[in-house]
Amino acid sequence: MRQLDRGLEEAAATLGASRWTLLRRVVLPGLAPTLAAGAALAWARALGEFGATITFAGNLPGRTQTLPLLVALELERDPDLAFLLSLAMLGISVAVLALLRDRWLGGWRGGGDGAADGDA
Amino acid sequence: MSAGLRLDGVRVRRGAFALALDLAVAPGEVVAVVGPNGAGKTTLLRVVAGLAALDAGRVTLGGRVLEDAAAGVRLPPQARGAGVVFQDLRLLPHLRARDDVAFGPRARGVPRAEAAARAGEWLARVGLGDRGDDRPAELSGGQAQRVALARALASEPDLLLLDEPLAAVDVAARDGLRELLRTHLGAFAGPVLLVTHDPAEAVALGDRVVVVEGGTVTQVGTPAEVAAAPASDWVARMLGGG
Repeated sequence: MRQLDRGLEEAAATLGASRWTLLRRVVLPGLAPTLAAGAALAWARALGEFGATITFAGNLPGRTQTLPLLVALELERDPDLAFLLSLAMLGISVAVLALLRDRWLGGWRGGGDGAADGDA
Repeated sequence: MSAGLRLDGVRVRRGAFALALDLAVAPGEVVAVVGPNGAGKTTLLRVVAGLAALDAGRVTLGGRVLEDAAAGVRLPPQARGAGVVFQDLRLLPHLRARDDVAFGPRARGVPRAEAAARAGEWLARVGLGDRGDDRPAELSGGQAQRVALARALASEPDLLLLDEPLAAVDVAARDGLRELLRTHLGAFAGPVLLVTHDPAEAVALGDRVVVVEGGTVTQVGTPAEVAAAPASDWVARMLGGG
């Protein structure tokens, strides 16, 4: 939040913006790329993380269980389901790469979000 | 004079620097404040806009008290009715020019369609009728400056404050923009305070020129008086050199 330009808030204030208008029309739009990048990173972790999660956070379904942990678990119980889940993850990874290739190659406004999906 | 802007005994301290001045701007009058960098010009605008606090003194606009240090009165920027053109423009990066110009009217409760129509009119008046869909990154320096002027005027302010409105514009676009400024500042009904580091610009745009050096006023006069008999070496050098 601190990174956001104080100057823009001042400009909006001189135009008559209330605190609520400032938040809704200046602060949040300014934060949107950062929030999207954070969400993308969290999502990429959920698809890709294994070692650190099982060491420090455990393997609790719905709370700390990531997809790779689920695959490892199902490999013991139901290898077919594990295979299917792996395939789905591969599919998601390929789909993300295909969907975002224009953004990466085309250089859309810096494109800070989504850049961390590679290790999914 | 009653609807003018008055600064009485205004004092602002920032570390070793102190701004101390009295100033009156009549309705419809353009006062050009000129001085070297660090003279306190931008601080003066920030004080009037409500973005910096007074240590002492009073600022009134048409008899309405904007700030009175002794009485502890300090209106927020939203309540002052001052249209500001910042030196670094501060256009909202995610907004199209039309939405940026409509921001002021919208913030003051004008319905969306009416605000958009008003913004379109103002963009046309500054010669950008066809650039309403552009974002700041797609505009040239001169065009962005025009959007900033249109945005300040579209909020129908009681008072206009401009900080170096020609500084960010390349030489080729400067003459056209100076003419545009002269037109719109001349048509504006309220007091106008324009800050510049260029005495030639002050003489060209101001009805009255106020020279500020080291935080105090060193000369006040018509553009002709200041140009003919500059009271400070700095002004003489700047006009002679220009």
